[in-house]
Amino acid sequence: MKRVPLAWVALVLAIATSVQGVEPFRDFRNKQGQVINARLIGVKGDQVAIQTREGKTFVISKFILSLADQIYISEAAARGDLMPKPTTPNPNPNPGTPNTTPGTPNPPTPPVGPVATGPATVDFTKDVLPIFKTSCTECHKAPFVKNNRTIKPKAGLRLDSFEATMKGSTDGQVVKPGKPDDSVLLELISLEPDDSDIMPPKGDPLTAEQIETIRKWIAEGARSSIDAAAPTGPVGPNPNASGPKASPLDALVNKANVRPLAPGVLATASKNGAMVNPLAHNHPFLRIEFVSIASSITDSEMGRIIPLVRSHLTQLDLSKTKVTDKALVNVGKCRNLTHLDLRQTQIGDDGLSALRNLENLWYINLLNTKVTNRGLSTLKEIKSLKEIYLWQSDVTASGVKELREALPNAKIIF
Amino acid sequence: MKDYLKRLDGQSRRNFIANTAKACLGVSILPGIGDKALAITPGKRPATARHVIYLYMGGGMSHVDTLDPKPENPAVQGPVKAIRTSADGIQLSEFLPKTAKQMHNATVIRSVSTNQGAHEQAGYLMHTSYVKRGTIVHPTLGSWVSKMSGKINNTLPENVRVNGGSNILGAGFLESKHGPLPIGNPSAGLQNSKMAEHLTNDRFGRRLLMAENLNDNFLDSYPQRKVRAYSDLYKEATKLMKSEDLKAFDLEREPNSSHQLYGQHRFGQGCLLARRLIEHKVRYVEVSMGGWDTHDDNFQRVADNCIQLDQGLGGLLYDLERRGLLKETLVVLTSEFGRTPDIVGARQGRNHWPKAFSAFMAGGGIKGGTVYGNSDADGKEVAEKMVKVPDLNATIAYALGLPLTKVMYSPSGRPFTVAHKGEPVLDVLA
Repeated sequence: MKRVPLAWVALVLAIATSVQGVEPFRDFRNKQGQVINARLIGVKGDQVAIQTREGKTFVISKFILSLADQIYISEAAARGDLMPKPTTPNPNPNPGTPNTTPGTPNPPTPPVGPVATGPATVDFTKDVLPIFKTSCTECHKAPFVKNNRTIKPKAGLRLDSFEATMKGSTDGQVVKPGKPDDSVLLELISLEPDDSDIMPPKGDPLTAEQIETIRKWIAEGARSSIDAAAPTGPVGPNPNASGPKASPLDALVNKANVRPLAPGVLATASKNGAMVNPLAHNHPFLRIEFVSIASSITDSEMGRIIPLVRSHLTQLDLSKTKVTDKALVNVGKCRNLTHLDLRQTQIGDDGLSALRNLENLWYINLLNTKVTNRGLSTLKEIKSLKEIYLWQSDVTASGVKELREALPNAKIIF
Repeated sequence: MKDYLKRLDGQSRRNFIANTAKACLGVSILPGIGDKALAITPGKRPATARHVIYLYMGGGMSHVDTLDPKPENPAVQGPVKAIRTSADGIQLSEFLPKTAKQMHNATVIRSVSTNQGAHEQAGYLMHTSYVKRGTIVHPTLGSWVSKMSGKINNTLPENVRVNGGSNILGAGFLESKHGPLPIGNPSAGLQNSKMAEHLTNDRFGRRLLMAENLNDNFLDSYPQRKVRAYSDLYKEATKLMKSEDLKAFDLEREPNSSHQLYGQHRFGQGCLLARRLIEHKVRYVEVSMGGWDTHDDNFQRVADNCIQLDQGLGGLLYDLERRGLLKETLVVLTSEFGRTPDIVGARQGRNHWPKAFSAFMAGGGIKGGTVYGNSDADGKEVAEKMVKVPDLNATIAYALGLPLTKVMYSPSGRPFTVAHKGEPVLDVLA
């Protein structure tokens, strides 16, 4: 039995709208070869609104149209003379509404966050699409009928065109312009080859060069072509009603302007069992701690590790290690250090004096150290300190009182 | 049949072999490795908390007699008075004087609400964020944390439960290594963790080697993650057995003053053990305390329970703070439900009340000295800002920096997330 082709009209959602279009009437042809004479009146993402001569309006996915029509639509949208259509039907439109919004060609979603503005070097059609075509589109392409079954793209994600790629999957956007580290697509292709989530799930993983090409394309703003303006970014509704707040740490990240370290450097630094971890996935800043091997950590270990990560080290936990005052000379050069834990170590006043140039130190734990009132004079100079822990050290009440006067806003536990 | 075969692709074949290995070899319950990406990435955001101490009051803690007193409403409050705390304008029950002194580091959520009024189901919901079903066993929050956080110590398990009793909730469909290590009695430490006395290191090593030789051929033929995990289980157990970290479980190493501070009872000792464990970088410790099912003689029994609760919790917060550990440790106190604000007849009891009750959170990124949400004047209904259990657990997961939308699949392919799509209560986070 021959399957009845999906009817043109059945695919579309009628909406009542009379926004004036400026495009001429022309023939649109769908992939089944059916033709409709209409004019383009709006584009939003890959949804297009067209209006027939009888005044009937349809909102359809542009991917059911022929390639020529899709190109026509992209060009019309890029000329910026079409207003993005509202996604909800508008039963009572105001005919006087202006229908052009120059300068905002086809934004998928409202702009959020910064994107690259310089000239791009990676071209979607020339460099990225071929990778997708080789490795991805077998599963991620437009729906098609095979053996009487409609095969839909997996996860609702299509990687066979720029627009579809930017639209993302049923779970949301997979590419966030300018933010490769937040882009699910890049995350999934970069997983370990034996990870069950890696894409593509069968066949060879993408090569390092291919991944780098895609990373670069996203980092440069995920544009449709080298000359195109960067599409504006993400991304569906924020799951958190009031949204996460920008923290002092975020401000420091911006100021520090450092890139995440290469995995190789992290591996070298974590030799011998040190735990050297980014604060979060792909975060540029690091935390170093020693956990079960703390008692084997000496000044020489520190001398080896710290120079590797000096601008990235933000949180350093030296508790219970065998380090002495000498090790802190290196620590004092870590300009982005915010958190220093020296609990239960031999550290004394001389060590602290090496820290006086740290401008971003917020937390210092000197529990059960040899620090005395003399060492507190160094702490007085570190105006950024917010929390100071001095229980079981050799400081006295009068020393702490002076410290409180010098740093009135710091929490000082004695 | 023909169609069915066509639908099999390479992926299914690979899964088929993996599943066969799981089914026939019984290795699916064993720990997996290869979580490398997770191990080095705590989550998408820098976490404000690195550890959780979850204090679970089993049986249903009366909210109006502890965290949500109603001093203006004697019909509800009975004989219990409210006292001031270290945070302006916030009152707790007179049964919690030591906790009240730490209120500046804590927040009370007075608008928790569930629809589960029976102990088992409500406890299940509290621990897993999901309603109990016959078709699946969900992982507890601690198991999710263990699965998603990545290890920050080399030897100890990530998830420990102290005083757990007969509560058997665990890793659910996740690998069993993420389930809680049960410590029945905190003073007794970790049982069966010493090498048998008749074994020398040499003999023990030879036995391990023999087992490894037996496994070698099999490993070569089935180089699967879960099969490799089988021998890794031995390695991890051996590592723990010989580790210095074992002394984290030994409360006798604490000075007498610590024991006094936390209290010489199971709950207090459990809190003390929890502090030792997080000092050794265990991620998630649950300490439970029973006896809150006060259908009879509510006021006397709550007062008695609170002596232990207040000493343990107050001591824990005080001790964490002076050690500089409260900043990165999130302490949570809650129960499966509250109790009826109406005092039940001659028995002076209170019955189950899930509609409105309270939770307490301190440390680890919590905005101190605040109250979130409110119950009405009778303590019966949520008056504003309802917090569902998934929201509460999402808040904990959010503080830990876990990706709330990351989907994990059960073996049958059903999708689940860490806090069942709960929305984190960002207003309680600093």
